[in-house]
Amino acid sequence: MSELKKYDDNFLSESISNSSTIGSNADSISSDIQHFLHSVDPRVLGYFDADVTTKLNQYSTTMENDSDNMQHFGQWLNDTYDDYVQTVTKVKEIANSMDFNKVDSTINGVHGTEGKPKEEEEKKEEEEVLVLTPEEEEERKRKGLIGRRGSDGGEQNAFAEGGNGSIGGLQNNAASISRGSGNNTGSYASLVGLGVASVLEGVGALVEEAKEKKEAQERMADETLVEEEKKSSNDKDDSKEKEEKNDNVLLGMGIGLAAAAAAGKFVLSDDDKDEDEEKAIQKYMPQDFSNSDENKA
Amino acid sequence: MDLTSKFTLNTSNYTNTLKMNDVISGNVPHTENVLYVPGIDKAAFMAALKALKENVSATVETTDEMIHTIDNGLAETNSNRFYRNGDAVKQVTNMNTLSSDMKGLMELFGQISEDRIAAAIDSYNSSLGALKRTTRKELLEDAAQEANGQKCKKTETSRAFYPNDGANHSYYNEEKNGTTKVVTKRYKSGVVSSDGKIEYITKVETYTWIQCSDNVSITEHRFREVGIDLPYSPSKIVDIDL
Repeated sequence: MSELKKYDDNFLSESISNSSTIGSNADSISSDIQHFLHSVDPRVLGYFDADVTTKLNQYSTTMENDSDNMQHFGQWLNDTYDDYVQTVTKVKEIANSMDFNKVDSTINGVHGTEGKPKEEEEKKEEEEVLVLTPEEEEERKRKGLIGRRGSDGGEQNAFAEGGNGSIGGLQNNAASISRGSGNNTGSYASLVGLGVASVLEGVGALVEEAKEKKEAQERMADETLVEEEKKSSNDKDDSKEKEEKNDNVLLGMGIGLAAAAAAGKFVLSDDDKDEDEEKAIQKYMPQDFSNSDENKA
Repeated sequence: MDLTSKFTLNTSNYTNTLKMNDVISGNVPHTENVLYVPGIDKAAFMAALKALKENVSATVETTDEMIHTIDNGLAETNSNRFYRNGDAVKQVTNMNTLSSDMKGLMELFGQISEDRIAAAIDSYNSSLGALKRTTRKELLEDAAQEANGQKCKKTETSRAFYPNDGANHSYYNEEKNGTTKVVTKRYKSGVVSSDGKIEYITKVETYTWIQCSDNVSITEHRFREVGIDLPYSPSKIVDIDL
């Protein structure tokens, strides 16, 4: 994954303008040379070192070509910038249309429980966490149920893979939602189902928003885990494992849901813009959950 | 600085034939055309060269700065679409090519020595002036030699000389024999009659006689006196110091 991109609207706009100036300057240089060659005494030009006049003529032609190239450059930069602006605008429109409070509720509930109140989900989770023994936890892992508790559908992948809090988790989650593998009732899956995903490319703006959400989730997860630790202080190892699991789940879910809003092509950077959706899905889908049907099973 | 108008004369065809090296080295045939070749306007040329260098240098400096700003800025986007994908690479490369070309142009300017060119122009103009003077004189001498001895179109029925006294006495023999340096005619007839003081010549046949002078203006005047065209067009002659 590439480093964070740095877009400066003022710089890009100014560069488009300056590229035109650069082209004009190159053309001006070419004209100056031609004017000189055609206006001064040719006898003196003939007295120059053998190829000076020839080179001056060549540079005049070169500058003319360079001027044309700069016109193309300006057009390209303008088109590219327009495309970039339009993409960002669309992403923001979609992002603004989302109800992140609802997302938060779902994320904290972990189970994709149709936007039930956060407190209720936290309570339910705490209860479940406290009930599980290490043996039970291991058993659930073997069955591939970790991260799937009480829920079907795309979010499950986020639970399993998104735990590292990476963009990959976000993408996996988005992928699984997009594929509509479950009956998840989260609003973002619905958006994807409506075909919103076909428009967007993951650009910096969305990533930034996703990161903010991720940080919020991390804070909430920390609070939850503190309480968990208090309640399960007698079994630190077990609690730690659950903490990590929850953390992973929450992070992945938070990013994933945000990404889903912009998804379709689960591309969060330009690096991936040319890949089709299926490739993106395959790329970021963890092997264990690459088949939604298996997940369902 | 537009010097084009200066070369719209009929002499333009000859301008290019008189290369600077040829004139300076004296390797130029002494023909009529040499007289019509103007000198090189050193001030105009040097001003044009200076203006070209200064204008282009200023433009290059400004332009190069903008190019590097854009290049660096696009690189900082860390973006495929703006810097790394195929089209972006092509466009950015083209832009940087302009920067390289401008650098090459400035290096070429650096090879053009203004002092050396100024000295060469001075030498050329000096050599051309000397060449013109020599050529003009040679052309007149050649033309006079060709004209002398030719029978004049106008004939004189008689001519009186005053061999023994009078104002024309001193000219008698010279004029009669055509040896004087100032006469433009020779007489080919014997003395027909004389009253002792005056000799009368009849059946006069006159022949052109142009004695050249070191002063080309005087020689040209004699050509005009006898009605012989000069071997060049004086009005076309430029930049010559007599």
